Amino acid sequence: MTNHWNDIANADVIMIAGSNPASNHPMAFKHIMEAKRRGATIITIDPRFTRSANRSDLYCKLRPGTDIAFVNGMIRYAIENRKYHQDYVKWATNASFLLSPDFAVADGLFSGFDAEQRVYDPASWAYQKDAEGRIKSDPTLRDPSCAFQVLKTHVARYTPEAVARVCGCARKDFLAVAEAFCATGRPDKAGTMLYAMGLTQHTVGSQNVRVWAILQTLLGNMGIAGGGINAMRGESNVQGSTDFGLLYHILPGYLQTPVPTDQSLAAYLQRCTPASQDPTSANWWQNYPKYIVSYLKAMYGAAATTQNDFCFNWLPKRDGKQSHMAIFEDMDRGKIKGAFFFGQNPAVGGPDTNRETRALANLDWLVAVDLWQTETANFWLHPSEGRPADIKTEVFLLPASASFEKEGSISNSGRWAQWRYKAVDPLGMAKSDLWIVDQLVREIRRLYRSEGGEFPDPIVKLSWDYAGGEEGIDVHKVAREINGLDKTTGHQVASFAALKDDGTTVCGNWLYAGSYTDDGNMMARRDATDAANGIGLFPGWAWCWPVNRRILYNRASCNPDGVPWNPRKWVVKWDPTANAGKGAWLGDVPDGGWPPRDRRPFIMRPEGVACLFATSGMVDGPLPEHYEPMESVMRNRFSRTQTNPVAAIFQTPEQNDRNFEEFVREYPIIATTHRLSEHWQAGQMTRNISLLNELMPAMFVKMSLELADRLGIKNGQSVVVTTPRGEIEARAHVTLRIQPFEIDGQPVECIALPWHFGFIGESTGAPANRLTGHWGDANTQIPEYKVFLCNVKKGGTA
Amino acid sequence: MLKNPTILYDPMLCTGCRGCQVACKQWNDLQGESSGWFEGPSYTSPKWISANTWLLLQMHEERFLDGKLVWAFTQRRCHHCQDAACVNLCPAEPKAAARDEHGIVTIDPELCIGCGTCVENCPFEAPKLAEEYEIARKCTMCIDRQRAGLRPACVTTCPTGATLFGERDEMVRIGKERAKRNKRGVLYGLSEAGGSSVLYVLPYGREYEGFPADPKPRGDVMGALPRKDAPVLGSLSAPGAVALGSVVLGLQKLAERKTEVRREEKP
Repeated sequence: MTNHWNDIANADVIMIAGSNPASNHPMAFKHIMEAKRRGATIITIDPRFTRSANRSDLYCKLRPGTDIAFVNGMIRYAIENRKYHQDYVKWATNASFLLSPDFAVADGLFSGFDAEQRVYDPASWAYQKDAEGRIKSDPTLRDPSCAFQVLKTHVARYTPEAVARVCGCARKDFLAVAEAFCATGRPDKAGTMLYAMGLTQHTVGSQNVRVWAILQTLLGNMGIAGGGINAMRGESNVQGSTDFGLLYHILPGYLQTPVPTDQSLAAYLQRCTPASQDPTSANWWQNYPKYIVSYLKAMYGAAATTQNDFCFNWLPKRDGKQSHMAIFEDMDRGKIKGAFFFGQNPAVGGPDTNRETRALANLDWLVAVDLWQTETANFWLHPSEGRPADIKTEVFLLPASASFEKEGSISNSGRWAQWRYKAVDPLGMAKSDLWIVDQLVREIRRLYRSEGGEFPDPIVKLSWDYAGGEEGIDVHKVAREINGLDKTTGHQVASFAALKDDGTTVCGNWLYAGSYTDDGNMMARRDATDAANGIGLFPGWAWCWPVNRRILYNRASCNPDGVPWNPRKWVVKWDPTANAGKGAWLGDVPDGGWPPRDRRPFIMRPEGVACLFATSGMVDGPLPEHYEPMESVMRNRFSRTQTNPVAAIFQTPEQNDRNFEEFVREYPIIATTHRLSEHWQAGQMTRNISLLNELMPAMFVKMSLELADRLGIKNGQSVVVTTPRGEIEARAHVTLRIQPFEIDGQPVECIALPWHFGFIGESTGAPANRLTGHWGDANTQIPEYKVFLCNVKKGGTA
Repeated sequence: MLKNPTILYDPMLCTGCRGCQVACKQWNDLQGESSGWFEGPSYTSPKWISANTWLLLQMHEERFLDGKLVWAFTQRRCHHCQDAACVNLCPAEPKAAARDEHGIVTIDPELCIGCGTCVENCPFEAPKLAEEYEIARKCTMCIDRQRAGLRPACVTTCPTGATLFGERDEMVRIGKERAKRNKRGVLYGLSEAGGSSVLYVLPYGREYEGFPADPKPRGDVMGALPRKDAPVLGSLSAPGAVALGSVVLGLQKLAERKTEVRREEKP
């Protein structure tokens, strides 16, 4: 989240898109209903009439996978009707920046496309620069090559009629949503945008978020109270795990994982450290060397010296995109021999679980670390191919302690790191993840020392000095190292401003510098006093990255003179008389303490401003363009480029240009997957609780009355759902809450499947992911769980 | 403890998360029950209140004449009536069903003879026979939690304020205000059954939820019994009432244990 949970209450309009907080983030609705009490309008756009839609003032349905068409239509509406925040756009975005004449977009493809490699060369997605290397601009926004005009031209095709036709919604419903949300373009209004996996789990997932970011920037909703782009995370600490390098392409603090061409620290820094010639751009990532060197010191301690590049070459280098699907493809090919699954259950949660279960059978060993027996730990009971007796994989199940049985921090969606004490001892032999990892490290190091092995230094010389505590490893020592230490003074660093690139500072994650200082554990603070601006920042409650800044890009909440756009709900403001006449910012921790005009507000971008047009950062285009999902009932109406041309494809999709209509005849129904408030993720933690099984007793297929009628199915009867990947049996939940989409005058049915079920536990059912495919987003490789085609028939024994 | 503790349920703030149904069972140590499918409309499960389900979040879907789809939620539970059929008709001597001076209606498991009169007559069908224990059970308004200064479990868990708890005057004020926000909205429980300690905002009118206009004893089995208006707890001293409140659940457990022992003793 750029903002945070409490801040939702400050919004005048709340947009729920690609998410269903009433079901999946029930506590979020505390803040949403508080906003409503204060007069806010709530909008939901979703293929299903969700529990969130039920509590919304406006609801518009849209066909799964058509968010970009919908939001591009809203951008067009905002521009055509001059609903955007004009002063904000001029000051805080790249609207006026002139783009390279080499940039072009034709028939759904951007310039630089390499059809053979299925990649873009983004060289032409660039700014025009003057002789000094500064970006040229036209403050009047009239130059046809400025980002604003290019965006305006790009979205011109997304008329309300085109949106209604492609999204399968009513034109008037689209316009009602556009009008209500774009009303927040006024300086004194705020609109927040709440999303989750409904946006991301698509072949265009990143662009689905990007398109909202563009709209929010146009409306001046970034950096303000009650605004922002807010990802509601699906697990209590998924924000924390992302902050700490969970994903394959990032190290802690969103530093990049090295690739084979990074043969030295200098080469790596050359690639990763952006430069800017603009004196008004803070270009914060210019500090990159300080963060990576301090991280290397935390990893390798005394072994890391200036002479040996701080052991940079000890960091593993990735030579591909080793995301979830890639790992399973490698497993399938026999490239991966062993695997640890910490609180993960791909036999239920992974895409195309038949394929992934087959891959698991190729492992020599599998370790599942979990609270319960999982389908993954027991995959050999129901292998997708062959007999259980033929499975050679040796499986270990390590009982893990639950969150209340261990001490540590949890970072919530709003980036608040909240320290939690241990409430009760773990049951039985269960141990904390920290203890399990500690034991592994100790044992693996012992083996390397006694038996040798390939390239032992990164293991045996790893800095691992956390001994203590009742379990033998002290979580406070870990947290202190994450915060960082100045070795010359022996003091904890107060913030990342104190980090250096000369090896004198040690820091596990620069973003968390300030979380555990000489004053103690900031994450354990519980001061419920609000700040002077009274917008729910609660700066003394826990600790928030970065530097306890509660609202990111908050300098954008002010005009170039540091005066808030909305004085009633100000986040920061410049007081020229403070600090002995030198001036100072009041309110939230600002994005840098410079006087207002000295730096532009978006300090993490080398341009210093938010990007309507993204010259870098996206592999599938500088502007969002509608493509159909990998499996679709209709041809793309906006171009002849049917699907995202650079989507991550690990398995050749069965639908293609030649068999397009034939495939639709065989699989005429759109399917989407979703979660329930009563069950959680792959289900181990909830399908073993009788009180929750009572509420959601069985796997079901949500379908319209019309579809049920056509198939002769009554509520509760068993049906069979098939895709080319597999089939499942489940019971029909016939409901008004899902409706067919009207496409070219024809109704197209859509079913919805909860994906929590599997074959282990008190309550069991077929995993919906037997139906999903091994393809996903071009930028993140997240699977396209949210839309595929299927067929539904009466039958089965569910 | 509040003087007139009252629960106000407003479905227009309810997201249907069913935290109330779960929290009720968790606190009162009630079993989950399932036939393997949604027994009621929409996601409603189980079908109705039972001896193991003291609070049911009922859901149903309807398309109104204006075309607007409504996914309506309501809580089914004991209303804790002033003029309570269960109390009035309880034939046990002394009465097992009683309304205390705070307006909380409980069934004392030690006194309950398991005759089913309250089950047959409650206009809201709240008390149910726990057959294995041969006693009637229902929502206690978490009297044990209230005695300890806590709010009822269903209230504590509610994320949106759909289930509120406070003094009756305050709940009536808020309830009236909220009812007015809906064209056909009414506040139910104000005078029905002599006024109840659970109030409902009914946004689509009383009939929509199937709430009786004049809640009367339903049954004909024991319905002819003479009414006894004197509340059992009314005669207790304040400390006595406190003690009784805190032992209600304890007694229930005791009764359960006794029943278990009886069952074990059977050949």
